[in-house]
Amino acid sequence: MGRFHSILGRASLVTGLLLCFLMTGCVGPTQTLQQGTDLCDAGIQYTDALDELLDVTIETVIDYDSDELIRQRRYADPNDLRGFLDERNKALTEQVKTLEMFRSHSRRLRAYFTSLGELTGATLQGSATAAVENLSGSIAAANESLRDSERVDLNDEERIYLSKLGGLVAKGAHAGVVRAALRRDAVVIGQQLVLHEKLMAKLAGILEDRYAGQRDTIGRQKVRKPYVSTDQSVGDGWKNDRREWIRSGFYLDELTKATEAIRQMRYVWAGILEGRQDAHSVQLALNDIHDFTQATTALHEAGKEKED
Amino acid sequence: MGNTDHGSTIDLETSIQRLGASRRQLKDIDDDELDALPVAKRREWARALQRLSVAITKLETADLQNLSAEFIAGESRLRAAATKLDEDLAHLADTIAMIDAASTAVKTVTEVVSLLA
Repeated sequence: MGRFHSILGRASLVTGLLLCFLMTGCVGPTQTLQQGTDLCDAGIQYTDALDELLDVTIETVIDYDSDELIRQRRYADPNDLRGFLDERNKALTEQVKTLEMFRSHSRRLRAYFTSLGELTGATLQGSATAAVENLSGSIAAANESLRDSERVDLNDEERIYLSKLGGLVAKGAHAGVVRAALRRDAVVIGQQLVLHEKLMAKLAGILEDRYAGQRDTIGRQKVRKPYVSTDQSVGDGWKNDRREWIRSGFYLDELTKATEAIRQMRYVWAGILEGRQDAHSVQLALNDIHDFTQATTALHEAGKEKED
Repeated sequence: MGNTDHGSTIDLETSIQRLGASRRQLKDIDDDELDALPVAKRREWARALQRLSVAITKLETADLQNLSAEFIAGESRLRAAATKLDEDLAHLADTIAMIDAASTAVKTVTEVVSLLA
């Protein structure tokens, strides 16, 4: 009779395990948890990249405006200068304040991915194995005390087996919770990605305008003017300026790539939830955003060196 | 309403692009050419640049503020989603705690039975 209960107990656990797997779909628990972890890493990396991009944008708009004020000062009516500066300061302060607001929006998205990371990375499997082992140990001890009664009789081998099974059930349940969370939040995160796509397009538009202006200035003042002016010699300095001017055209291409990357990230997110794609694709999209941020930072620094 | 907002956003973006192109044309005038102009014309150039740049900054800011409002509108749902994830985690931990509690209960029963035996 005790043997029967033992088999029945194990059968119940196996049934439970199978149910967990069936409820969590075709993808295995390990794969689900890994996808969840990859998504969190990608999401956190994205928000970090956006943070850097906001820094670059803010510095660029301020420096561009200052350069313009310096040139304008040379030709303006001295009586207008104070009014010009006050008006510019007010408009630019409002713009920077607005850009800073996106940093807090981005932090909220980061907080979501951090919570998702804590859920997917939770070390429940080990705790569950220990808890089941503890429970089966207690049952075995109870059997010792109630030797003559018809209880579940567990030997050492069976206890180890049950513990392992307990761990697997916990892992299946854990993966099920992660998958349910991803499905539940798919719309919310999808909407956030649409908004971030719009934000990237707007930041790219602002940067494109400023960099195109900066490129015009370098082309006109540092490349064309010295070259056509036959009363001055051109040498290594001019060659460097010309190289920088030609290369800066490619930075503008990076802006387009980055905007495409965030759009791609939204499609990838939908694909993962439908089981069509893996999280690795998000990483590829993020690489484009990272390259773009690096390129814009480099251009910004190059622009500063030119002024020096 | 949604279409109107979308239309306004596109108008705003188009205006920014047009003003940006005008500013570039104005700034494309070489320093030598500006130096050769009469003082009144130079001052007019400086005023035109001022008007264009301030208008661009203000329009860009308005465009960004519209987008920020969309972020704020979706914020409560995002915050709720993060809170729900924390609850999911707590629930998983509770399941483990329940197994532990069952184990303690069995141990207690065993001890009582041993004492009575």
